[in-house]
Amino acid sequence: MQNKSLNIGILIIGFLTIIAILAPLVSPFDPSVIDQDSLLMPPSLKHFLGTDTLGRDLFSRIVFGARISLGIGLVAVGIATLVGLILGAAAGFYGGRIDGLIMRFVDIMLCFPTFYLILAVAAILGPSIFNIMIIVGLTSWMGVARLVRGEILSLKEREFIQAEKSIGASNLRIIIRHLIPNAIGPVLVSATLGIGGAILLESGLSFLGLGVQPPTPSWGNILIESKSTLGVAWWITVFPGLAILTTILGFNLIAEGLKKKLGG
Amino acid sequence: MILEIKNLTKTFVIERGVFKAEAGLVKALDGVSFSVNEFDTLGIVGESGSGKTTLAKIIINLIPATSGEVVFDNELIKNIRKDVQIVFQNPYNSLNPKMRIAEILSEPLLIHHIVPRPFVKERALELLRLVGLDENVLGRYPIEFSGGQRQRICIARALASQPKFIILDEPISSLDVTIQAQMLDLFLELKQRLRLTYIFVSHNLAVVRHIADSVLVMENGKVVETGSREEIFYSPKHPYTKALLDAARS
Repeated sequence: MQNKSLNIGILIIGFLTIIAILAPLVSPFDPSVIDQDSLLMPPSLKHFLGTDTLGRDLFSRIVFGARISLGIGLVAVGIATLVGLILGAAAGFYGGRIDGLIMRFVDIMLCFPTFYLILAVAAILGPSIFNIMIIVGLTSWMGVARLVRGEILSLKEREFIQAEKSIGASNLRIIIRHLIPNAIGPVLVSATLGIGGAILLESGLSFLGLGVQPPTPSWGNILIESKSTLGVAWWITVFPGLAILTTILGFNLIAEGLKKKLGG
Repeated sequence: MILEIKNLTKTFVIERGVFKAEAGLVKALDGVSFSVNEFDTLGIVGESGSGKTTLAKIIINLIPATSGEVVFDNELIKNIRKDVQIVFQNPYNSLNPKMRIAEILSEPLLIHHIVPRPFVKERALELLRLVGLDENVLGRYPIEFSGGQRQRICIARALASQPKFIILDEPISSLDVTIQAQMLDLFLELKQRLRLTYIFVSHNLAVVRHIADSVLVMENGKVVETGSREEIFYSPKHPYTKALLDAARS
C-alpha cells in the first residue's frame, strides 16, 4: 500500500536531519562570525538567504539553528513520551488508588496554562538549551499518559493477557513485553505530532528571550532578532519562519502516515 | 482427588457514578461445590451466563472468589501457575499479535525454567509437533493462522509448563464444525500421552458426552446436578438437565 504522506514526511524530516547533522559542511560561513561590510544584505549568490543586522550569514544560522531546534524537539518529546508511558501504564494496569492518584496529578498539570508555566520555570531556572528540553518535556507528558492508560485499560482484559497471567508472567513482564508493544502505535503518532509542538514552544520561548540565548542560533531567536528590521529586511523573518513551517509540516505528515499505516 | 471446590460464591458489585455507589449485585456463583479426580475429565455444562467461565477463572486464580475455597492436592499441584493451565474460548484473542509463535511459546519455558535457554527453541518445536504443527510455524505471527491452528498454538503454550491439570474453557465452540472433531481427538490423545486431568467447560452437550467422564450441570451460578456421564445422559434427574438434553436432541 502506498503511503504518500508518510513518504513525503520522512523525506522532508530526513533531509532536514541530514542538513542539521552535516551543518559545518553545509553552511558556507561560520554562523556567529560578524561581517561589518555586509549588514542586512538581501539574498544573493554569496549569501543565499541574505544576512542579519550584524552581517551574519542567515543560511548558516538557520542550518545551525536546525540542530538546536530539532534537538530540543526530539529530546523534549522523548522525555514526555517516557514519563507519559510509565505513568500511563502504571495507572492503567494497577487501577484503583494508583490510577486515581496519577490521573488527578494529570488533571492538575493540565489545569496550568502550559506556556505560562514553562515561561515561569524558565525564568526561575534560567534559560539554557538543557533546561528548555527538560521543562518542555516535563510539561507535555499528560496527553501521552492518558492515551497509554486508555489503551492498557482495554488491552488488559484481552485473553492473551489473561493467558500470560495464568502462565505466571510477572506484572513487569506483562507490561513491558505484552501491553506496551500493543499500545505503542497511537503513542508514536502523538509523539510525532508532539515534536512539532515542542519546536514551536521553543520558538515561542526564544522569541520572548527565555529560550536559547544568542549567539547560539535557534529558529526562535533568529526570528526575534528580525522583529526590529521587519520593514527593511523581510528575509530574516521569512526564512526561519519557513524552516519552522516545513519541519512541522514534515512531522505532521509522518504522524498522519503512521496513523494510516498502523490502522489507528 | 486432585481438586476440591468448597461452597464457592462470587458476587459482582455493579457500581454507578463517580462515588461508586452500589447499584446492584450479580451472583455469578452461588455455593458451588464439587471435586475432580486425577486423570478424569469433568465436563461442566450450562447455558451462557450460568457462571462457567467465572468458575474457570476463579479455579485458576485469575479473579478472587467472594467466599469459599479452591483446594488443590498439595502433592500433585505445587505451583498453580505451572501445574494448572487454561485454554480460552477465543483463539483470535488469546495470542499476543505482536509476538512470533516462537516467542509466545518460549515465555512459559523461560518463566518456569523448564529447559535451559539454548534448548528453548528445540522444546518449542517439540510442543508444536505435539499439537500437530511443524517448524514453519515458529517464525510467524498469530495473524497468519486460522482459528484451529491458533487454538493448537494456545494448547502448545498451555502444555509448555508441563501442567498436570488443564481447564478447557469452551475450547472448540468458536471453531468450524469440521475442526471441532479433530480438536476433540487431540484433547483425548494429549490426555492419554501426558496423563492430564481436564475440566472441560462447554454449552454443547454432544461434545461433553464425547469427552467427559463425569458431568456437572450449572444453572444461574448453582450446581443443579452432578454425576457420571452415563447418569447425566441416560437418567437425568433434575428438570433443567432434562430440558437441556431435550433441547440438544431436537
